Amino acid sequence: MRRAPIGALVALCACATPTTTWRPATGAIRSSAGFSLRLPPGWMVLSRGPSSTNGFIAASRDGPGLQCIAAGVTALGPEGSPALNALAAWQRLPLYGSGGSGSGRALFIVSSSLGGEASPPEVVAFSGVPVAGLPGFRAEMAFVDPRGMPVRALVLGAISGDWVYWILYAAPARHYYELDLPTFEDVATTFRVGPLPRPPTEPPP
Amino acid sequence: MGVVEPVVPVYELDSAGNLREVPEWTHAAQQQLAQAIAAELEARGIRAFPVVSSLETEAELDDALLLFGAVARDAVYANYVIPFVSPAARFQYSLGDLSGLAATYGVDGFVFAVGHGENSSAGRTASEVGKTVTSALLAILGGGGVYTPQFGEDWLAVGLVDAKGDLLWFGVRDSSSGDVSVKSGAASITHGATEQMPPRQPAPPPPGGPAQEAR
Repeated sequence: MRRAPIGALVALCACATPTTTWRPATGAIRSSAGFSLRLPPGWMVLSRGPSSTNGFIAASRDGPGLQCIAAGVTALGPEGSPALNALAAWQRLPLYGSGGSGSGRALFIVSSSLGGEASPPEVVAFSGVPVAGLPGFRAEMAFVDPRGMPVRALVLGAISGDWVYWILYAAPARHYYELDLPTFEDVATTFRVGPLPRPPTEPPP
Repeated sequence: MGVVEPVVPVYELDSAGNLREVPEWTHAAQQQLAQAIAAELEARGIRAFPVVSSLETEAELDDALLLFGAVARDAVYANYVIPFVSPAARFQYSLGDLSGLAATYGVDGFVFAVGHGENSSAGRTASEVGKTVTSALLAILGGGGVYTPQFGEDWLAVGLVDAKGDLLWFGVRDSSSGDVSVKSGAASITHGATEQMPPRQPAPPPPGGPAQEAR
């Protein structure tokens, strides 16, 4: 791949102030909700902070709309598929956090290209498999994002008592899903559960 | 280069700050911006013409354009909103293989563009002008600063992509003046978004043959 020079936004946003919303992922990432995983070099992880992720982990390399690996814990309730619940929890994460005070114009560009409702996700394949040494499942899903772009997702869930510990990968169906799927499979092998967590709270709507 | 019809919805911004898309403005913006983009490329010695989708190409063109929208959003976010170190250092994005489309259209690559346009409603314009005049009078009398009117924000992102789908060049510009659905406004924001685009580099001649024309 060739390097693409950046054009006019350099001048537009020269005053952009860095923010601490995302940070480089180094070593094992441990969640307060009782699980951990390890990301490859070059990935960024969503930091907890003012827009708290409440124990959820989300990571990306190029931007959360191009590839995202996330993990969390949701209740194994009587209603709804645990895979769909995991995807819904991921969709509520504040992936596009605000920048510093000087990034407002760039943030406007980002925010004006978000919003709207994604189509209801469809589970296209489901199988029972052990995950992180626990009984679990593997679910492949597809949906269309609010702009009309097809997205694919893969959720691995480990069931422990009344909780589902999940690790998820979501990316545009075109090009990016297949590009980073091997990375996700590698990261999934590092997914560890335990010790048992205190119940997490849901991410903010 | 094939110029794919831009996706730039244009909205009316009312006095309460609500947005309502106006399909006629959106359609006009897409036409004007496609022409303005082609003109900017031609000015750099790059032959460019609009790509007209067909039954055979429409789905893949739509997919690539939708992915370009996501790439543009995340390129801006990861480079200018937050310190996403890796993309800023690498700036490697792709729309996936476009060689089939390139062969169909007989081009070396494509230009994709996405954006957003806002035009102030008559009521909002009057309200904003009123606030500005009032604040100016108060400033003359020694009280406070002059209000900056908010007539709406536009932005346009333009990307050059080769037949492999690799993003070769990317530019984006925002504007709070002008109207992207008219020729002058479309030309202005397109010029801003592409002003750092380099001219076409002449291809080295193949051994024993003439230089190829970029298409």
